[in-house]
Amino acid sequence: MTAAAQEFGESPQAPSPESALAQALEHAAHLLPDQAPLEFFVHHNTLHSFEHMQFEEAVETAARRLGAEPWLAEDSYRKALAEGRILPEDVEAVLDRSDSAQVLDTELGPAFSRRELRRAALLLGYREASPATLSWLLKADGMGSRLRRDIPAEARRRTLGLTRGRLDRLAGQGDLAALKEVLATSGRHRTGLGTLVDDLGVEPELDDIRAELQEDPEPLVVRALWVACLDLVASASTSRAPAATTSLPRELLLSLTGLDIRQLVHPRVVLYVSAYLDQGVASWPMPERELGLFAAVSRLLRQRPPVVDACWRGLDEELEALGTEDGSEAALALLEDLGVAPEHFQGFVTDLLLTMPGWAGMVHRLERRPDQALRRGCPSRLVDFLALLLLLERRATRHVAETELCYRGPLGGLAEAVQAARGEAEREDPSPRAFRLFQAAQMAGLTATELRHLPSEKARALIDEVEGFDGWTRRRLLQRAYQRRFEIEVLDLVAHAYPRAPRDRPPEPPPVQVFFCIDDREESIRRHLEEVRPDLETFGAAGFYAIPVAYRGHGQAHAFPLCPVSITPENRVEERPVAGPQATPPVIVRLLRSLQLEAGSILEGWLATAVFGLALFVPLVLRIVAPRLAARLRRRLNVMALGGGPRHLTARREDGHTDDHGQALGFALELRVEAVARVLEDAGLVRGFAPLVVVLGHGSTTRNNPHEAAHCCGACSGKDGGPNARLFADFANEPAVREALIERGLEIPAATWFVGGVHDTASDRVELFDLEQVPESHATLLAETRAALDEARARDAHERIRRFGTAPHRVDPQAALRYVEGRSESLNEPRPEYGHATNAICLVGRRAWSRGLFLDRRAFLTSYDPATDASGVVLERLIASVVPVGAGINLEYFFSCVDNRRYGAGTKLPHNIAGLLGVVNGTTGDLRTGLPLEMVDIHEPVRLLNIVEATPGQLEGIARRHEEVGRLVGNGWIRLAALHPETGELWIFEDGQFVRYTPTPGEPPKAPSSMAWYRGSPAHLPMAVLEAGPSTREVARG
Amino acid sequence: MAEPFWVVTAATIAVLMPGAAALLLGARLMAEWTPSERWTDDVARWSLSLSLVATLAAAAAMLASGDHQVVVHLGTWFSLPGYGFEFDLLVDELAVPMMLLSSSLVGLVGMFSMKYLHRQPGYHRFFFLMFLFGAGMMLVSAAGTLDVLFVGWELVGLSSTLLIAYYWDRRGPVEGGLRALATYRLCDVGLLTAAALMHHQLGTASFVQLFGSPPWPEVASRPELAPHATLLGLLLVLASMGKSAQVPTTGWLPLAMEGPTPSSAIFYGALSVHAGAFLLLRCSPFFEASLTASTALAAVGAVTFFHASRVGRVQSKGKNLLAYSSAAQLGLIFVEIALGFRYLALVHILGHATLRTLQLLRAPSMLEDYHQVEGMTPGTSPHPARHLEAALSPERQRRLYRLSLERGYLDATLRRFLVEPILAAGRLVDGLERLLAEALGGREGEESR
Repeated sequence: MTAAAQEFGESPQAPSPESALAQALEHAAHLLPDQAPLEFFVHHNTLHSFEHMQFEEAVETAARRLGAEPWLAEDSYRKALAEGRILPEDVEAVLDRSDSAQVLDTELGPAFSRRELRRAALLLGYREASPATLSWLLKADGMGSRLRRDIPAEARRRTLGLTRGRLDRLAGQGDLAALKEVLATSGRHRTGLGTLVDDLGVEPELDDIRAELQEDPEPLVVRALWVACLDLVASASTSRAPAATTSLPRELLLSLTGLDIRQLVHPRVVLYVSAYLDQGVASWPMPERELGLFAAVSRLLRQRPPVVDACWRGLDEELEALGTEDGSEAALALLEDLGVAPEHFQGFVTDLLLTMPGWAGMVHRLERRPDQALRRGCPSRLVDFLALLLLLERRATRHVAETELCYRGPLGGLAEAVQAARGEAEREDPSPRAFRLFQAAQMAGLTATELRHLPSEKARALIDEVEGFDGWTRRRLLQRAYQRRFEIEVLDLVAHAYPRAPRDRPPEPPPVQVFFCIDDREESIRRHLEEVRPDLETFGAAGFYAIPVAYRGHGQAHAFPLCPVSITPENRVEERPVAGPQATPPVIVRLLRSLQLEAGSILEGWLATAVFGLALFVPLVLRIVAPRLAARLRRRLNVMALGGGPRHLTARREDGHTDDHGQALGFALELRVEAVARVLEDAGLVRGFAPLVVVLGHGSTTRNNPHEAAHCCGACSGKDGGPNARLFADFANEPAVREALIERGLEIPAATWFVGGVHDTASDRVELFDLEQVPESHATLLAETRAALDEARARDAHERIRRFGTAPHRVDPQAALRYVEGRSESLNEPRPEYGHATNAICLVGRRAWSRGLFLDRRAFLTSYDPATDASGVVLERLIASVVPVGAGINLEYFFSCVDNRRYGAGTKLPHNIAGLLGVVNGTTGDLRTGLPLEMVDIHEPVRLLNIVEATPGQLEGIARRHEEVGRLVGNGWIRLAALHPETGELWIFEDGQFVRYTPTPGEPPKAPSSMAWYRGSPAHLPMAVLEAGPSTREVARG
Repeated sequence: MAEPFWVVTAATIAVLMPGAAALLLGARLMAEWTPSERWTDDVARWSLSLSLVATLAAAAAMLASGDHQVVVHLGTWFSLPGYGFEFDLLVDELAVPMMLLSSSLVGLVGMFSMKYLHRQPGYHRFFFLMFLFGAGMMLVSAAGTLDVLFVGWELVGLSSTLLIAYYWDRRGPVEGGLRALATYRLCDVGLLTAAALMHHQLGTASFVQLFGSPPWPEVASRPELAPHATLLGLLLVLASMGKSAQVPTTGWLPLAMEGPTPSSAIFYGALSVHAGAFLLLRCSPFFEASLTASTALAAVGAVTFFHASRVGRVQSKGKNLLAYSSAAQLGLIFVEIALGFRYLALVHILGHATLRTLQLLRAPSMLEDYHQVEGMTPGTSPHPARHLEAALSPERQRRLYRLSLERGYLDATLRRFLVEPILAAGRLVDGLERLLAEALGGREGEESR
């Protein structure tokens, strides 16, 4: 309790309702998805607000709180086991570490220990069943009459042999009563299993049982086992805590009346909030939006409608009685009326907002980042949203309470009033638990008799073990095993490659050096370029090339930041036609609007449909049948509308540009020098410059893709990074900049020329800028480089299409290139590219040791040379910027993949753009955040494995100094390995410290070239070492 | 007049192909012999392109022979002495454009969907329903009698309902589908009654026999129609209102955008919604003959136009906006039909269907489109600041805005005055029945619940 609070007369027990509400909102806001509007979509950790916890604990806590799945379905892991993506030794290893040896080696039954039971459960899994499906599984699926087919033969023999022996003995003794008891032939009610009488039609006689034992004893054995399990579970009935429910009255009403208030309230809330937040879909925006959501909507709702659904009758009067347009006053009054005490605000408000996380999250996002709204001036406040939700929730609650329960008292008393009406909670049906025990008994080779004669504490231990080793636990361990196998594969590969790589850069500078973004999608084109031209050198740097710019391209209405989201650009650059601006005739604009979006007037609408409509048959057919041709024609039309011709950038500040929007137009000399120095120093390129240095940004051209920003450059706030590369080359070629660089000890030879360009990761187009400025002396070199880039992008396309289900697979690289060009322009391709799917690795270090590794487009590649960074300054700033970005991408894919329903956006096909902000499924409902299913359907969720060419000590220091890096590494959200620059030893960060990794003996897989390795394989491929075999050109043809 | 062989053959193939594909795929699915995506693609490719080529051939043959009206007799459904239900197609200047539109758009959207639906659960179900829809649409377009048209009409309605509910694991799609189904069934009363009345009063439901020569779009005055024209006309307006989402049934259309984008495009942008307008065009002589019917038609169209344009202006979601734009243009088409501009209405249908298909298929491109338009007019918002509403007083603005946002209170009105009374009556009858059953047989009444 602070002194300040006492001064204001607050007691620690009862915070003022205002502050309680503020705290509750703050708490709830943490749990809401923090996704930007579509335009500004940038990957971030879906569970960012849980990062203060250890990864596994956080994932399961979040799953519980948000109603999500923490891990993949158990079947996916079992598939991985079958495919060898998880080996039995991995299961063994994670099992070893999961508990102490003493616990694991405890004997649970006559012939097995806890370890053995857990191993079997991990490898085979329990089939889960509800009481309703149980009967089907037992009868129709045969689980009630046969042992599971997949249990080990030894266990199977034991159960069958021993039980049969006992049944035989009883039959031999003629003890029909005992037999009937064991087999539960009649009398008692058994869930899921008919009595034998049902099966046979008559009460079985001794002879029947004897005959069956002779003929096929298995059904009787299994039956006896099942009956024993049922009895055991029933006798040792554990009282389990009832499932936690939320604090909302809607839950109460749902359980009592079967009516879900959600169905009444949500469509209304969505109607108002999406109209309020709309950024420009509707041509008539909501009146008085500047007052805020609650005020604007309550002014609308205060009018009495002519007809209204019974539920909303009287809403206008309630608003009148509320007497305020202020969201937080209204929320407080409504909370009080609902009978929520300030100390319960937090739970209630959080539960309520989490029923519509998408919209609530967007409201909150725009409250924090009003600059990300296209339409300014309509304040977005979470408390307004809460007040609106509360208002409608209260009305609907009252309505249902009145009509269904005839309750008219204050809502605060509703819970107590109806508690009486509520009967005893239903007793839990033990059969699903017995079903799990039944399978465990099979795996352990137990018999019915043994189960029945287990001492009670043993029986309890067995049941507890089977209960405790539940689905989440099994999936958590299997995920660990999956991660383990993946890490071993990568670490072994690196351990193999590192000692074989040259220690120093070649003494002679290569003819060409090419910079790519660190993006995992650039790994393949980079590798192919190196295969095409083994003599050139490549580098990886964050794709905004250290130029934080707000950029407005020609034909764009706004300037967008092209830099990581954490930076706010202070400089602005515009692209302008050299020939001067050319205005598009208004008639064309209007026509385009009417045809594409919505007609502005009756006449325009009529003209667009009745007159021009039929003419659109041509683009309709072309865009579906020949998307490449359609795209070419479209580009030509665009040039006609916007003007073609060269365009220049307002890059430099000295050119007399004026400031605008609080941003300086162009960059001052110091900033230009800084950018160039930064990128070159980070990459370790401080000497040995090639005559030609190509700098490539990247973007992604796709059609019909609301999530386009997620495919563009993450280091450029989800935009095309071409302008950054173009600016960088411009700066680096500038004599003044070079002079200033010499003062910093960075000498770029006069003969070196920089060329900027852009790589399109969807169409594999590579465009180079400002080629007319390249000196004549470089013409041949430039032509060669372009040829090499053309070959590399064709091969890149060829490698990419192996993962596309609808692509032709037996084609050459040129045909593949044409195919991806068409694919990126297709309206009907929900997977124009696979984005960051399968991303898993981040390498920071010299390219020398990762060159020649087939990393299957799974690795972020950051260039860094420890030899040029004695002080470690460069390493520190690289790690601090690269690692969180990689983690954000990796974790968003992780969660969207493990639970696409809750963390992801579901399938893209019915998506509908709401307010230009986000997508909804179909026509109503919550905003869907996260990634659509089509982006993650081939993803393999593993945590990002960072391998950094540095000493463990250096990395520990950085993790200590940088809070975010420290948190991500320390809590296990990413994996960090140090590759010691001198010894080549690998150290991996495990449980708070670096431990030495011992590579597995043996050789990694090898292949002569990328194409030889991936060709003909549509699915996952192991990583491999590429050893220059026959010339790659020959392979391409073969 | 001898039946022109080529027209007959081509039209028959064109109409039957999608149905044959539906049967083939349906049979395979029924036998639980699930085909590969590629197999279904091949069926779609062959059947839909054959249907399109045959339609083109029929059109060419018509042009070449100079025929304006060809009746294709496919068989007799059943006949009584002196009376028969014929299964006839009518190929004329109205049917051919509509057949071309249907077969080409179904073909295009089929091609679109092969990639778009790749790996979707329910891939084959989607194509099955699309074939069914294509069969229905071709039957409607080429129907020679109102009975045949009704068969096609029902196929269209059924496949459309099931495709709205394509994602049946979520609540929204199923509710949207149910809403469409209820609307369709209600309005089908009009079509069914009209067909029965035609047989009863006029002795036939064959369009040629009823309207005869001269062929469409000419209308000869036929005095024998006059006494029944008003009633039949009004019934047909009722029938087409539901399919074409006219006031007061407009509310189902935006809710129908729940299925995958291509099905929304072809059903609610292109073909299904125009089936109503087509029916009215087909039966336009009734509206020539009855001022009451044509006035009612014009009124429905005009009211819908104003309603849907108003509501459309406040829609904040892409597909919903397009749904209301569709309904508005359909209102205009209704007015054109009522005023007797038959050719214009036909051209309007064709143009509107094309435009809307393209717009809906591109609905996810909305952001890109806004940027393009904005970029061409830098400095302005995407919407030219022409809010006529700004001239109203704040109070009136609020009133009008709320009215638009609540979709003219149409849905609430329908619920209050149509759905709730029906449900209440149902509950009443149910209660009475239970009482009666209990009185008669004791506990059996309980069990029948």
